[in-house]
Amino acid sequence: MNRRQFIQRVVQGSLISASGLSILPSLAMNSNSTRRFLFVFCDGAWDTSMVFAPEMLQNYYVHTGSDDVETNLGGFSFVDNSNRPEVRRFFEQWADQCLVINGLDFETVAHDRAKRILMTGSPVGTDDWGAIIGAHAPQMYTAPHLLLSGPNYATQFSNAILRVGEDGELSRLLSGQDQLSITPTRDHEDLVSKYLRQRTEDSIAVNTRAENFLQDFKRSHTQLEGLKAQMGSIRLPTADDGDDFGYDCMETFMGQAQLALDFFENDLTRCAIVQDEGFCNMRWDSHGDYFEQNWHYDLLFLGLQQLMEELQTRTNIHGVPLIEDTTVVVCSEMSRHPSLNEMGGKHHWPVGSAMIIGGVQGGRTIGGYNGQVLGRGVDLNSGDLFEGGVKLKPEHLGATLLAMADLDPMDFGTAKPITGALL
Amino acid sequence: MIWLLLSCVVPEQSVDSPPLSNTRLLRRMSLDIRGHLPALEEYEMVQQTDVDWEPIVVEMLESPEFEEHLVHRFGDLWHTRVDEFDIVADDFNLDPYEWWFPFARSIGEEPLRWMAHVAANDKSWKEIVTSDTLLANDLLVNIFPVDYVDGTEPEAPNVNTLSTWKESKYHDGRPPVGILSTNGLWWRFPTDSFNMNRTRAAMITKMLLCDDYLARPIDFTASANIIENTETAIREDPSCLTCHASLDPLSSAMFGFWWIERYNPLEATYYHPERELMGMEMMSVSPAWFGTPVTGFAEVGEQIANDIRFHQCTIRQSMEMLYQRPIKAKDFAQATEILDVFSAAYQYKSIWKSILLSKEYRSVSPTNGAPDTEGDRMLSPYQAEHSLRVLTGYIWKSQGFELMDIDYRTMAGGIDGFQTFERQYYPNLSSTVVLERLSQAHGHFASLNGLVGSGLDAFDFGISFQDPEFSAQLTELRLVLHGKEADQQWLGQTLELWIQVYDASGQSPQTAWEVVLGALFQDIDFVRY
Repeated sequence: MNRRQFIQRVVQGSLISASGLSILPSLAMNSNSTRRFLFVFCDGAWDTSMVFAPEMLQNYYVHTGSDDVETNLGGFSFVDNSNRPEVRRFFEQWADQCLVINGLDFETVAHDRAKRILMTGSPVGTDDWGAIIGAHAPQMYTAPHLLLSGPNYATQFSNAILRVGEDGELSRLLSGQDQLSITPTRDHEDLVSKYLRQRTEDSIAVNTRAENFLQDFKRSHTQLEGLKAQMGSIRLPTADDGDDFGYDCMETFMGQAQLALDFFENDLTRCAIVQDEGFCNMRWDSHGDYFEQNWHYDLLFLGLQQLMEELQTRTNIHGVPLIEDTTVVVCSEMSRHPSLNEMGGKHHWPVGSAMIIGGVQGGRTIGGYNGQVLGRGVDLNSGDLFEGGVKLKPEHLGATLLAMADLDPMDFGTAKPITGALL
Repeated sequence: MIWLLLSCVVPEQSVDSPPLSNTRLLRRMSLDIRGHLPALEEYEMVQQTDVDWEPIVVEMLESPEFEEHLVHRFGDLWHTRVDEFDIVADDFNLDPYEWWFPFARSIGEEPLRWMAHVAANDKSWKEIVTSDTLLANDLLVNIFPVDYVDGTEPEAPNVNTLSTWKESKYHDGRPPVGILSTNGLWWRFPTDSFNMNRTRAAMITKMLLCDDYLARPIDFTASANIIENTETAIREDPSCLTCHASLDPLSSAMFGFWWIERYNPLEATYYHPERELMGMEMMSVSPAWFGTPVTGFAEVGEQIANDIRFHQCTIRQSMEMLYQRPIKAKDFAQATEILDVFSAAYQYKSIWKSILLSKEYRSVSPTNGAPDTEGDRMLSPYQAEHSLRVLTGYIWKSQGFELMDIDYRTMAGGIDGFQTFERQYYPNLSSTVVLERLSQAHGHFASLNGLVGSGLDAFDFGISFQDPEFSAQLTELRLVLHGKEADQQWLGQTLELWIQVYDASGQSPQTAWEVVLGALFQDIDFVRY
């Protein structure tokens, strides 16, 4: 049985269970997969018509660049333009690893709400994909979900989170830099750590009702010890690293993502998220000038090129190239309106795209846009367009990622994964 | 709406939970109300079987620290205590480095201070949306069109004199709508020529009515005009009107606060009475509050104040704040009882008092099927920092900035209102490493300067384990920090740690106490409450 068949069976089982016929055992919560996930979140809402949806070039309603053309590389189509050379360069090398999902309906045009829906599949409550996947790993990572930058939504699985901070905060904390004259000795810290561990064990023994809280407390101290032990092989960003923030217009998200790769290399983390702020940190929210998206896309794909090269050359602790077990999820909240507005920019549009690189059926686009620039129906089993099929939403993207992580999506929501996207 | 849903749901079965011990309950109350630990003598007063909790709760609610803590509690809800606004300190010729933090906090706290003041001083809660009086500090009076009510002139802006907030009034013609007239609120929730106050209107209904327009899914397939003419779609397409029929008339009432240029400090600082009628022209709708026409934004404040959804929402938010969980069907009866009490005089403290004296608030563990956060709450960054500040007198700062309120706020489990919108309910690596450093810093400072609060002023860092006072001193620490009695197991473990550090540090009792204090500040019984 391959993974697609397995997931299909799981989904069928969940449906039966939901209908009251609980004849199949529920899937274990813990994952057996070691696949890692790096989320690259493009803040502000990108214009999907400029790269991911070549069908929009023929759409009367959609304003596209006059020299935008559809380019096909081995069956994978994208929108090409000389203003975005890095896009072509990237796809020429990596198209066979890339799966584009088009027609994701966010059902909102508000940034904050769309971010939450993108990352969690829901407008309220629930944890984000990174936190869920990080919290359900085959091993206890030091930092199950590493937050470098970008939105995060974690309550139930907030125990999975490690925040690095954007101004060297974690580095300062671990070095004790903010404590004036205090330089805590490692010996004292070890003694305290041992004491706290024993105290927590004692509490757990007599207080089973509060087990989650106590276990999280215990785990966090174990993780802290692990992180301190790794400080020789990891270089955390310091406040000085951010001194030129905003001044280097060509700085890609890779400035931050390097740390995620360090953590991947050392087997310290399963998921990480980094925010792409676009060219000159202008964000992608181009209400005032549609052309800005060219710069953002070119810089994004320059960063993705660097990322893939690093994933190819860097290895995990077992010597396996990171690219073999790492999935990159490139996404943005919503998309941009088909038409130009009165300022030459584009307002928000609720239907957008995402791209998954690695660990999926690459060289392929699933979903699409109809004449009204809304999502087309999809057969989740095959991934093919299907009249009357499922309207794709971010929850389907999330369910697919959970499935890739060997988790049962039905344990965390109601959406089925796009099994046609899985290997 | 939530009220209706709750009333229709059959309450889930619950099991009785054992109550917290008196000392742990006192600790929980103090942390929730005042934001810091009880003092030693307060603990000692509840170490008996029968305790009348009502006067204790009332006294804590009368504490000035209640008002200060509410600023932070409301900040977690309203997300105005962000670290940066579109308008910044150097727009007012203030040194951007020195003023960045105090400027952002003064602006962001403007609406929160008034809410906390109304609540703590038994004014009618309706005044948060109807009053022409607000609170301001010297910075706001210097840079905003605001005067102190008592007629005093502000000092020149000084980062060290911003903690005094006094009653004040705007004098630029803005309507008397309490927090809805503050620059601090509208700077946090800006709008532009496309949005036309809709974000602000949606924020009002979400925060004051618990009715979140943005939680409603939109469906563009049902809109014929959405691509070619968005404005027509909003006015005519049924799928759009579901929200815009009530959202746009409210937005239309707010054009006195509408800015032509978003990043212009003059635009954002002053009210624009000449624009009040622009909503009708730009949005083609007349101002109204859910179908009731209004002549201006001042009437909106009155409408909100008398809307039962506003009162219900206030109760719901308070219950969620103190129970640290979403309210459920089982809470409906209690919420209804609280509404009856609250409706007598609309005093916010009556809500808190009802909740704090409830059986559920005292429970130590979850009811059936609920997450165990119902039993254990995690200290907020404010509670952790403030507790230690009261105890040691130390403020953890770097380069003038309070670290627990800025750099480490979200890492410690708090909300920045920018990327993080929800409190953390379980410890994780980030919060643990922050607490470790915070604890070490306070332990170190205390070892040099002594303990100064919480009734532990007589604490002696020179006492060694052979001294007869040693166990008593340790026992007092256990009670004050954790709200628990020191049993033999705990005393033995802690004594062992003390001696290990004592030996490792060249037999320095001061160092031993420093490290032990730091350990107790990180203890599982300190982190949860």
